[in-house]
Amino acid sequence: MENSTTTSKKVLVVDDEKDVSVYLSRVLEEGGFRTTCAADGEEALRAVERERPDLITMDLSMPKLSGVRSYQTLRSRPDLASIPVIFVTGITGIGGARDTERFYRTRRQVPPPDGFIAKPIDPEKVIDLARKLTSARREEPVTLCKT
Amino acid sequence: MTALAYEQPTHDFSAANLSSERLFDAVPYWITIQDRDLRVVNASARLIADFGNHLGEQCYVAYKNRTEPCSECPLQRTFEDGQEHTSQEALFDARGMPRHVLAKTAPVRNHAGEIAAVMKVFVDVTEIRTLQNELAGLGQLIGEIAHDAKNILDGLQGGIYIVNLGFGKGNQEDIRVGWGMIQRNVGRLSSMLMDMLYCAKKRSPRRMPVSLPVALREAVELFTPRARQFHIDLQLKAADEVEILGEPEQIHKLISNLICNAIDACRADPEKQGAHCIVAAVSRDELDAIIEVEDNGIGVDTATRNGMFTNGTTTKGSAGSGLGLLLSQKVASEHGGAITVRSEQGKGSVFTVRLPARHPKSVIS
Repeated sequence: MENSTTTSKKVLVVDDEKDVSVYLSRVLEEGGFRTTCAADGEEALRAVERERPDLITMDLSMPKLSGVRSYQTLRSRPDLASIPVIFVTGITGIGGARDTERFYRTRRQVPPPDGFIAKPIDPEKVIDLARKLTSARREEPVTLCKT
Repeated sequence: MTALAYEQPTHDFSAANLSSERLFDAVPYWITIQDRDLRVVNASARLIADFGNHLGEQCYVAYKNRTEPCSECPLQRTFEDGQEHTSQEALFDARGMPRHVLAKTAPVRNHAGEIAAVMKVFVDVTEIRTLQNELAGLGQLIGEIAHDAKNILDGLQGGIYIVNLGFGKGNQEDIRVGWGMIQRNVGRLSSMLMDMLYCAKKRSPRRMPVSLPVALREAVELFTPRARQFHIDLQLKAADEVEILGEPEQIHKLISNLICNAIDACRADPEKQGAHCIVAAVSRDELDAIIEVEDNGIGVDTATRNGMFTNGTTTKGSAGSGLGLLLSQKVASEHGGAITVRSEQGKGSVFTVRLPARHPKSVIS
Protein backbone atom coordinates (compact mmCIF):
# COMPACT_ATOMS: atom_id res chain seq x y z
CA MET A 1 0.00 0.00 0.00
CA GLU A 2 2.85 2.31 0.86
CA ASN A 3 4.35 1.65 -2.50
CA SER A 4 1.20 2.67 -4.25
CA THR A 5 1.01 5.93 -2.28
CA THR A 6 4.55 6.85 -3.24
CA THR A 7 4.47 5.72 -6.84
CA SER A 8 3.81 9.15 -8.22
CA LYS A 9 6.08 11.03 -5.83
CA LYS A 10 9.01 12.78 -7.38
CA VAL A 11 12.37 13.22 -5.63
CA LEU A 12 15.05 15.68 -6.73
CA VAL A 13 18.48 14.21 -5.95
CA VAL A 14 21.14 16.94 -5.67
CA ASP A 15 24.76 15.80 -5.57
CA ASP A 16 27.88 16.75 -7.50
CA GLU A 17 29.18 13.19 -7.22
CA LYS A 18 27.51 11.48 -10.15
CA ASP A 19 27.87 8.02 -8.67
CA VAL A 20 26.16 9.10 -5.46
CA SER A 21 23.31 10.60 -7.52
CA VAL A 22 22.94 7.39 -9.50
CA TYR A 23 23.04 5.30 -6.34
CA LEU A 24 20.50 7.40 -4.42
CA SER A 25 18.22 7.63 -7.46
CA ARG A 26 18.29 3.88 -7.94
CA VAL A 27 17.55 3.29 -4.24
CA LEU A 28 14.60 5.68 -4.37
CA GLU A 29 13.30 4.17 -7.60
CA GLU A 30 13.35 0.78 -5.89
CA GLY A 31 11.17 2.40 -3.23
CA GLY A 32 8.67 3.43 -5.88
CA PHE A 33 9.70 7.05 -6.38
CA ARG A 34 10.39 8.89 -9.59
CA THR A 35 13.70 10.77 -9.54
CA THR A 36 15.46 13.59 -11.26
CA CYS A 37 19.03 14.78 -10.60
CA ALA A 38 20.94 18.06 -10.27
CA ALA A 39 24.72 18.36 -9.99
CA ASP A 40 25.02 21.62 -8.03
CA GLY A 41 23.00 24.11 -6.03
CA GLU A 42 22.17 26.40 -8.94
CA GLU A 43 21.02 23.53 -11.12
CA ALA A 44 18.98 22.31 -8.16
CA LEU A 45 17.09 25.61 -7.82
CA ARG A 46 16.29 25.60 -11.54
CA ALA A 47 15.13 21.97 -11.27
CA VAL A 48 12.91 22.78 -8.29
CA GLU A 49 11.21 25.56 -10.26
CA ARG A 50 10.75 23.29 -13.24
CA GLU A 51 9.90 19.97 -11.60
CA ARG A 52 8.26 21.01 -8.32
CA PRO A 53 9.42 17.80 -6.61
CA ASP A 54 7.74 16.26 -3.58
CA LEU A 55 11.08 15.78 -1.82
CA ILE A 56 14.67 16.95 -2.22
CA THR A 57 17.83 15.15 -1.11
CA MET A 58 20.62 17.71 -0.88
CA ASP A 59 24.36 17.15 -0.65
CA LEU A 60 26.05 19.82 1.46
CA SER A 61 29.46 20.22 -0.18
CA MET A 62 29.01 21.26 -3.77
CA PRO A 63 30.64 23.73 -6.14
CA LYS A 64 28.91 26.91 -7.33
CA LEU A 65 26.13 27.09 -4.74
CA SER A 66 26.50 24.85 -1.69
CA GLY A 67 23.68 22.68 -0.39
CA VAL A 68 23.35 24.93 2.64
CA ARG A 69 22.94 28.07 0.55
CA SER A 70 20.47 26.34 -1.78
CA TYR A 71 18.51 25.19 1.25
CA GLN A 72 18.42 28.73 2.64
CA THR A 73 17.13 30.00 -0.70
CA LEU A 74 14.42 27.32 -0.78
CA ARG A 75 13.29 28.10 2.73
CA SER A 76 13.11 31.83 1.95
CA ARG A 77 10.69 31.25 -0.93
CA PRO A 78 7.07 30.93 0.29
CA ASP A 79 6.09 28.87 -2.75
CA LEU A 80 8.95 26.38 -2.24
CA ALA A 81 9.46 26.43 1.52
CA SER A 82 7.13 23.51 2.20
CA ILE A 83 9.06 21.00 0.07
CA PRO A 84 10.75 18.59 2.51
CA VAL A 85 14.53 18.60 2.28
CA ILE A 86 16.88 15.86 3.41
CA PHE A 87 20.55 16.72 3.90
CA VAL A 88 22.89 14.03 2.61
CA THR A 89 26.03 14.30 4.67
CA GLY A 90 29.10 12.55 5.95
CA ILE A 91 28.25 14.12 9.29
CA THR A 92 28.93 10.98 11.30
CA GLY A 93 32.26 10.05 9.78
CA ILE A 94 35.85 11.21 9.68
CA GLY A 95 36.13 14.22 7.45
CA GLY A 96 32.58 15.22 8.14
CA ALA A 97 33.65 18.17 10.24
CA ARG A 98 33.21 20.61 7.40
CA ASP A 99 29.66 19.45 6.75
CA THR A 100 28.90 19.47 10.46
CA GLU A 101 30.12 23.01 10.81
CA ARG A 102 28.02 24.17 7.87
CA PHE A 103 25.00 22.45 9.29
CA TYR A 104 25.30 24.07 12.69
CA ARG A 105 25.89 27.42 11.08
CA THR A 106 22.73 26.92 9.11
CA ARG A 107 20.79 25.91 12.17
CA ARG A 108 21.28 29.33 13.66
CA GLN A 109 19.91 31.01 10.56
CA VAL A 110 17.09 28.82 9.27
CA PRO A 111 14.96 25.94 10.57
CA PRO A 112 16.68 22.54 10.49
CA PRO A 113 16.08 20.32 7.46
CA ASP A 114 13.38 17.65 7.53
CA GLY A 115 15.86 14.80 7.72
CA PHE A 116 19.40 13.58 7.36
CA ILE A 117 20.89 10.77 5.32
CA ALA A 118 24.34 9.93 6.66
CA LYS A 119 26.89 8.39 4.36
CA PRO A 120 27.49 5.55 3.83
CA ILE A 121 23.95 5.36 2.53
CA ASP A 122 21.61 2.77 4.02
CA PRO A 123 19.03 2.02 1.27
CA GLU A 124 16.28 0.88 3.64
CA LYS A 125 16.58 3.95 5.85
CA VAL A 126 16.56 6.21 2.80
CA ILE A 127 13.33 4.68 1.51
CA ASP A 128 11.70 4.76 4.96
CA LEU A 129 12.57 8.41 5.46
CA ALA A 130 11.48 9.43 1.97
CA ARG A 131 8.13 7.65 2.41
CA LYS A 132 7.58 9.20 5.80
CA LEU A 133 8.28 12.72 4.58
CA THR A 134 6.25 12.47 1.39
CA SER A 135 3.31 10.77 3.15
CA ALA A 136 3.17 13.44 5.83
CA ARG A 137 3.16 16.06 3.18
CA ARG A 138 0.22 14.49 1.37
CA GLU A 139 -1.97 15.37 4.31
CA GLU A 140 -1.01 19.01 4.21
CA PRO A 141 -3.40 21.37 2.49
CA VAL A 142 -0.50 22.96 0.59
CA THR A 143 -0.82 22.42 -3.15
CA LEU A 144 1.79 24.87 -4.31
CA CYS A 145 4.15 22.22 -5.51
CA LYS A 146 1.98 20.93 -8.29
CA THR A 147 3.09 22.02 -11.72
CA MET B 1 75.80 54.42 20.56
CA THR B 2 74.50 54.42 24.11
CA ALA B 3 72.18 51.57 24.72
CA LEU B 4 70.40 52.92 27.74
CA ALA B 5 70.79 56.64 27.37
CA TYR B 6 68.09 57.32 29.89
CA GLU B 7 69.87 56.18 33.04
CA GLN B 8 73.31 55.91 34.48
CA PRO B 9 75.01 52.52 34.69
CA THR B 10 74.35 51.04 38.12
CA HIS B 11 76.93 48.25 38.01
CA ASP B 12 80.65 48.33 37.56
CA PHE B 13 81.68 45.95 34.84
CA SER B 14 85.07 47.52 34.37
CA ALA B 15 86.89 44.44 35.52
CA ALA B 16 85.55 42.49 32.61
CA ASN B 17 85.49 45.59 30.39
CA LEU B 18 81.78 45.10 29.83
CA SER B 19 79.83 48.24 29.08
CA SER B 20 76.04 48.25 29.17
CA GLU B 21 76.18 48.89 25.44
CA ARG B 22 78.14 45.69 24.85
CA LEU B 23 75.80 43.76 27.10
CA PHE B 24 72.83 45.16 25.21
CA ASP B 25 74.26 44.03 21.89
CA ALA B 26 75.24 40.62 23.29
CA VAL B 27 71.68 39.63 24.21
CA PRO B 28 70.70 36.84 21.81
CA TYR B 29 67.32 38.44 21.00
CA TRP B 30 66.13 41.31 18.87
CA ILE B 31 65.65 44.41 21.06
CA THR B 32 64.40 47.92 20.39
CA ILE B 33 64.10 50.95 22.62
CA GLN B 34 61.27 53.17 21.45
CA ASP B 35 59.84 56.56 22.37
CA ARG B 36 56.21 57.67 22.71
CA ASP B 37 55.97 58.35 18.99
CA LEU B 38 56.87 54.68 18.49
CA ARG B 39 60.19 55.73 16.94
CA VAL B 40 63.13 53.38 17.33
CA VAL B 41 65.70 55.28 19.37
CA ASN B 42 67.97 52.31 19.81
CA ALA B 43 68.22 48.75 18.57
CA SER B 44 70.43 45.78 19.38
CA ALA B 45 73.17 44.87 16.95
CA ARG B 46 71.44 41.60 16.12
CA LEU B 47 68.23 43.37 15.20
CA ILE B 48 70.07 45.87 13.01
CA ALA B 49 71.92 43.00 11.31
CA ASP B 50 68.72 41.13 10.50
CA PHE B 51 66.29 43.98 9.89
CA GLY B 52 68.51 46.87 8.79
CA ASN B 53 69.18 50.15 10.53
CA HIS B 54 65.86 51.90 11.11
CA LEU B 55 66.85 54.20 13.97
CA GLY B 56 64.55 57.22 14.03
CA GLU B 57 61.77 55.44 12.11
CA GLN B 58 58.46 54.31 13.52
CA CYS B 59 58.42 50.58 14.22
CA TYR B 60 55.26 49.88 12.22
CA VAL B 61 56.82 51.49 9.13
CA ALA B 62 60.28 50.00 9.61
CA TYR B 63 59.37 46.41 10.41
CA LYS B 64 55.78 45.94 9.23
CA ASN B 65 55.43 48.01 6.06
CA ARG B 66 52.40 49.71 7.59
CA THR B 67 51.32 53.32 7.33
CA GLU B 68 49.50 53.35 10.67
CA PRO B 69 50.23 51.90 14.12
CA CYS B 70 48.93 48.39 14.84
CA SER B 71 45.51 48.24 16.51
CA GLU B 72 46.80 46.29 19.54
CA CYS B 73 50.13 47.92 20.33
CA PRO B 74 51.81 46.50 23.47
CA LEU B 75 54.28 49.36 23.40
CA GLN B 76 51.56 52.00 23.70
CA ARG B 77 49.94 50.00 26.47
CA THR B 78 53.19 49.95 28.41
CA PHE B 79 53.49 53.73 28.02
CA GLU B 80 49.93 54.01 29.33
CA ASP B 81 50.02 51.66 32.33
CA GLY B 82 53.71 51.09 33.01
CA GLN B 83 53.18 47.33 32.92
CA GLU B 84 54.82 44.62 30.85
CA HIS B 85 52.80 43.36 27.87
CA THR B 86 53.22 40.54 25.37
CA SER B 87 52.10 40.06 21.78
CA GLN B 88 52.52 37.79 18.80
CA GLU B 89 53.54 39.67 15.70
CA ALA B 90 54.81 39.19 12.16
CA LEU B 91 57.68 41.41 11.03
CA PHE B 92 59.51 41.66 7.72
CA ASP B 93 63.27 41.35 7.83
CA ALA B 94 65.81 43.16 5.67
CA ARG B 95 65.23 40.64 2.84
CA GLY B 96 61.48 41.12 3.03
CA MET B 97 60.94 37.68 4.56
CA PRO B 98 58.22 37.36 7.22
CA ARG B 99 59.50 36.62 10.74
CA HIS B 100 57.06 35.50 13.39
CA VAL B 101 57.93 36.78 16.86
CA LEU B 102 56.78 36.72 20.43
CA ALA B 103 57.32 40.23 21.76
CA LYS B 104 57.46 41.55 25.31
CA THR B 105 57.53 45.20 26.33
CA ALA B 106 58.82 46.77 29.53
CA PRO B 107 59.07 50.41 30.68
CA VAL B 108 62.44 52.18 30.90
CA ARG B 109 62.18 54.85 33.60
CA ASN B 110 64.29 57.98 34.17
CA HIS B 111 65.60 59.20 37.53
CA ALA B 112 62.25 60.78 38.35
CA GLY B 113 60.57 57.40 37.83
CA GLU B 114 58.79 58.53 34.68
CA ILE B 115 58.57 56.28 31.68
CA ALA B 116 61.12 57.70 29.28
CA ALA B 117 61.05 54.86 26.78
CA VAL B 118 59.84 51.31 26.32
CA MET B 119 62.05 48.32 25.66
CA LYS B 120 60.70 45.66 23.33
CA VAL B 121 62.29 42.22 23.18
CA PHE B 122 61.47 39.89 20.30
CA VAL B 123 61.89 36.11 20.28
CA ASP B 124 62.00 34.58 16.82
CA VAL B 125 59.42 31.77 16.59
CA THR B 126 59.31 31.57 12.78
CA GLU B 127 60.43 27.94 12.67
CA ILE B 128 57.89 26.91 15.31
CA ARG B 129 55.16 28.74 13.40
CA THR B 130 56.21 27.05 10.15
CA LEU B 131 56.02 23.65 11.84
CA GLN B 132 52.61 24.53 13.29
CA ASN B 133 51.36 25.52 9.84
CA GLU B 134 52.73 22.33 8.29
CA LEU B 135 51.06 20.20 10.95
CA ALA B 136 47.77 22.05 10.51
CA GLY B 137 48.11 21.62 6.76
CA LEU B 138 48.76 17.90 7.15
CA GLY B 139 45.62 17.55 9.25
CA GLN B 140 43.61 19.41 6.64
CA LEU B 141 45.05 17.25 3.86
CA ILE B 142 44.14 14.06 5.73
CA GLY B 143 40.61 15.40 6.13
CA GLU B 144 40.37 16.13 2.40
CA ILE B 145 41.70 12.69 1.50
CA ALA B 146 39.26 11.02 3.90
CA HIS B 147 36.43 12.99 2.32
CA ASP B 148 37.53 11.89 -1.14
CA ALA B 149 37.89 8.27 0.00
CA LYS B 150 34.39 8.38 1.44
CA ASN B 151 32.99 9.53 -1.89
CA ILE B 152 34.80 6.66 -3.59
CA LEU B 153 33.35 4.21 -1.07
CA ASP B 154 29.87 5.60 -1.75
CA GLY B 155 30.43 5.00 -5.45
CA LEU B 156 31.60 1.44 -4.83
CA GLN B 157 28.72 0.72 -2.51
CA GLY B 158 26.28 2.16 -5.04
CA GLY B 159 27.79 0.07 -7.83
CA ILE B 160 27.47 -3.12 -5.79
CA TYR B 161 23.88 -2.25 -4.89
CA ILE B 162 22.90 -1.73 -8.53
CA VAL B 163 24.75 -4.85 -9.72
CA ASN B 164 22.90 -6.88 -7.08
CA LEU B 165 19.60 -5.40 -8.24
CA GLY B 166 20.55 -6.40 -11.78
CA PHE B 167 21.35 -9.98 -10.76
CA GLY B 168 18.16 -10.21 -8.73
CA LYS B 169 15.95 -9.08 -11.58
CA GLY B 170 18.04 -10.38 -14.46
CA ASN B 171 18.42 -6.78 -15.64
CA GLN B 172 21.53 -6.47 -17.82
CA GLU B 173 21.34 -2.66 -17.89
CA ASP B 174 21.56 -2.46 -14.08
CA ILE B 175 24.54 -4.82 -14.12
CA ARG B 176 26.24 -2.69 -16.79
CA VAL B 177 25.62 0.59 -14.92
CA GLY B 178 26.62 -0.82 -11.52
CA TRP B 179 29.73 -2.50 -12.88
CA GLY B 180 30.74 0.77 -14.55
CA MET B 181 30.48 2.52 -11.18
CA ILE B 182 32.63 -0.14 -9.52
CA GLN B 183 35.30 0.06 -12.24
CA ARG B 184 35.36 3.85 -12.17
CA ASN B 185 35.72 4.03 -8.39
CA VAL B 186 38.35 1.32 -8.20
CA GLY B 187 40.24 3.41 -10.77
CA ARG B 188 39.82 6.56 -8.64
CA LEU B 189 40.96 4.74 -5.51
CA SER B 190 43.97 3.31 -7.29
CA SER B 191 44.90 6.70 -8.70
CA MET B 192 44.50 8.37 -5.31
CA LEU B 193 46.66 5.77 -3.58
CA MET B 194 49.36 6.06 -6.26
CA ASP B 195 49.38 9.84 -5.81
CA MET B 196 49.65 9.43 -2.03
CA LEU B 197 52.49 6.96 -2.39
CA TYR B 198 54.26 9.28 -4.82
CA CYS B 199 53.89 12.21 -2.43
CA ALA B 200 55.17 10.16 0.51
CA LYS B 201 58.27 8.79 -1.22
CA LYS B 202 61.58 10.50 -1.76
CA ARG B 203 62.97 9.67 -5.16
CA SER B 204 65.23 10.89 -7.94
CA PRO B 205 63.63 10.95 -11.36
CA ARG B 206 65.23 9.25 -14.34
CA ARG B 207 66.92 11.72 -16.62
CA MET B 208 65.66 11.26 -20.15
CA PRO B 209 65.18 13.95 -22.78
CA VAL B 210 61.57 15.13 -22.62
CA SER B 211 60.12 17.42 -25.27
CA LEU B 212 57.81 19.82 -23.47
CA PRO B 213 55.86 20.95 -26.58
CA VAL B 214 55.11 17.28 -27.31
CA ALA B 215 54.16 16.57 -23.68
CA LEU B 216 51.94 19.65 -23.60
CA ARG B 217 50.28 18.78 -26.93
CA GLU B 218 49.52 15.25 -25.69
CA ALA B 219 47.96 16.56 -22.49
CA VAL B 220 45.92 19.18 -24.34
CA GLU B 221 44.64 16.55 -26.79
CA LEU B 222 43.77 14.29 -23.86
CA PHE B 223 41.71 16.98 -22.12
CA THR B 224 40.14 18.67 -25.15
CA PRO B 225 36.99 16.48 -25.15
CA ARG B 226 36.48 17.16 -21.43
CA ALA B 227 37.01 20.89 -21.92
CA ARG B 228 34.53 20.93 -24.82
CA GLN B 229 31.99 19.12 -22.66
CA PHE B 230 31.98 22.15 -20.37
CA HIS B 231 32.25 24.73 -23.22
CA ILE B 232 35.80 25.66 -22.30
CA ASP B 233 38.21 26.79 -25.03
CA LEU B 234 41.46 24.87 -24.38
CA GLN B 235 44.35 26.37 -26.37
CA LEU B 236 47.93 25.26 -26.89
CA LYS B 237 50.82 27.68 -27.41
CA ALA B 238 54.04 25.83 -28.09
CA ALA B 239 56.29 27.13 -30.83
CA ASP B 240 59.93 26.09 -30.57
CA GLU B 241 61.42 22.92 -29.22
CA VAL B 242 62.10 23.04 -25.48
CA GLU B 243 63.64 20.02 -23.87
CA ILE B 244 64.36 19.06 -20.30
CA LEU B 245 65.93 16.00 -18.73
CA GLY B 246 63.45 14.08 -16.67
CA GLU B 247 60.85 11.39 -16.37
CA PRO B 248 58.28 11.63 -19.20
CA GLU B 249 55.43 10.00 -17.22
CA GLN B 250 55.85 12.37 -14.31
CA ILE B 251 56.05 15.44 -16.53
CA HIS B 252 52.89 14.27 -18.28
CA LYS B 253 51.23 13.87 -14.89
CA LEU B 254 52.32 17.34 -13.79
CA ILE B 255 50.94 19.01 -16.94
CA SER B 256 47.75 16.94 -16.83
CA ASN B 257 47.16 17.94 -13.20
CA LEU B 258 47.49 21.62 -14.04
CA ILE B 259 45.12 21.41 -17.02
CA CYS B 260 42.65 19.27 -15.08
CA ASN B 261 42.77 21.81 -12.25
CA ALA B 262 42.18 24.68 -14.68
CA ILE B 263 39.12 22.90 -16.10
CA ASP B 264 37.74 22.43 -12.60
CA ALA B 265 38.42 26.09 -11.78
CA CYS B 266 36.40 27.10 -14.87
CA ARG B 267 33.59 24.70 -14.01
CA ALA B 268 33.37 26.18 -10.52
CA ASP B 269 32.86 29.65 -11.98
CA PRO B 270 29.27 30.22 -13.14
CA GLU B 271 29.85 33.91 -13.93
CA LYS B 272 31.73 33.38 -17.18
CA GLN B 273 29.97 30.21 -18.30
CA GLY B 274 30.48 29.73 -22.05
CA ALA B 275 33.37 32.23 -22.13
CA HIS B 276 35.97 30.16 -20.32
CA CYS B 277 39.40 29.82 -21.79
CA ILE B 278 42.51 27.87 -20.79
CA VAL B 279 45.87 28.53 -22.44
CA ALA B 280 48.63 25.96 -21.98
CA ALA B 281 51.96 27.39 -23.15
CA VAL B 282 55.59 26.37 -23.18
CA SER B 283 58.57 28.64 -23.70
CA ARG B 284 62.11 29.04 -22.41
CA ASP B 285 64.46 31.72 -21.23
CA GLU B 286 68.20 31.69 -20.67
CA LEU B 287 68.12 28.91 -18.09
CA ASP B 288 64.66 27.49 -17.68
CA ALA B 289 61.94 25.76 -19.58
CA ILE B 290 58.65 27.45 -18.66
CA ILE B 291 55.24 25.82 -18.70
CA GLU B 292 52.30 28.12 -18.08
CA VAL B 293 48.68 27.09 -17.65
CA GLU B 294 46.37 30.08 -17.49
CA ASP B 295 42.63 29.99 -16.92
CA ASN B 296 39.92 32.59 -16.46
CA GLY B 297 38.05 30.41 -13.97
CA ILE B 298 37.01 31.10 -10.41
CA GLY B 299 40.48 32.01 -9.06
CA VAL B 300 41.37 31.86 -5.39
CA ASP B 301 41.92 34.27 -2.53
CA THR B 302 45.29 34.82 -0.90
CA ALA B 303 44.74 32.34 1.95
CA THR B 304 43.79 29.55 -0.45
CA ARG B 305 46.71 30.39 -2.71
CA ASN B 306 49.13 30.24 0.20
CA GLY B 307 47.84 26.81 1.24
CA MET B 308 47.86 25.33 -2.25
CA PHE B 309 51.23 23.65 -2.12
CA THR B 310 51.31 22.77 1.56
CA ASN B 311 47.96 21.43 2.65
CA GLY B 312 46.19 20.32 -0.49
CA THR B 313 43.90 23.33 -0.60
CA THR B 314 41.65 22.93 -3.58
CA THR B 315 39.30 25.07 -5.65
CA LYS B 316 37.31 22.06 -6.72
CA GLY B 317 34.66 21.86 -4.02
CA SER B 318 34.18 18.18 -3.32
CA ALA B 319 35.64 17.09 -6.64
CA GLY B 320 39.19 16.63 -5.46
CA SER B 321 41.44 16.31 -2.47
CA GLY B 322 43.96 18.83 -3.77
CA LEU B 323 46.55 16.07 -3.77
CA GLY B 324 47.21 16.83 -7.44
CA LEU B 325 48.88 20.16 -6.74
CA LEU B 326 51.06 18.70 -4.00
CA LEU B 327 52.10 15.98 -6.41
CA SER B 328 52.76 18.52 -9.18
CA GLN B 329 54.96 20.53 -6.88
CA LYS B 330 56.85 17.41 -5.86
CA VAL B 331 57.44 16.44 -9.50
CA ALA B 332 58.67 19.96 -10.29
CA SER B 333 60.96 20.03 -7.28
CA GLU B 334 62.39 16.59 -8.04
CA HIS B 335 63.22 17.84 -11.52
CA GLY B 336 65.09 20.79 -10.02
CA GLY B 337 62.28 23.26 -10.64
CA ALA B 338 59.38 24.94 -8.91
CA ILE B 339 55.75 25.95 -9.39
CA THR B 340 54.36 29.38 -8.64
CA VAL B 341 50.82 30.63 -8.90
CA ARG B 342 49.23 34.00 -9.51
CA SER B 343 45.54 34.08 -8.86
CA GLU B 344 42.74 36.51 -8.32
CA GLN B 345 39.37 35.49 -6.95
CA GLY B 346 36.72 35.64 -9.64
CA LYS B 347 39.22 36.36 -12.41
CA GLY B 348 41.40 33.29 -12.82
CA SER B 349 44.81 31.77 -12.17
CA VAL B 350 48.17 31.29 -13.85
CA PHE B 351 50.32 28.34 -12.80
CA THR B 352 53.94 28.67 -13.88
CA VAL B 353 56.35 25.73 -13.79
CA ARG B 354 60.04 26.45 -14.27
CA LEU B 355 62.30 23.47 -14.93
CA PRO B 356 66.00 23.52 -15.85
CA ALA B 357 66.09 23.50 -19.65
CA ARG B 358 68.33 21.17 -21.54
CA HIS B 359 71.00 23.18 -23.30
CA PRO B 360 70.00 23.74 -26.95
CA LYS B 361 73.35 22.42 -28.20
CA SER B 362 72.72 19.07 -26.63
CA VAL B 363 69.22 18.74 -28.04
CA ILE B 364 68.98 15.68 -30.25
CA SER B 365 67.34 16.76 -33.48
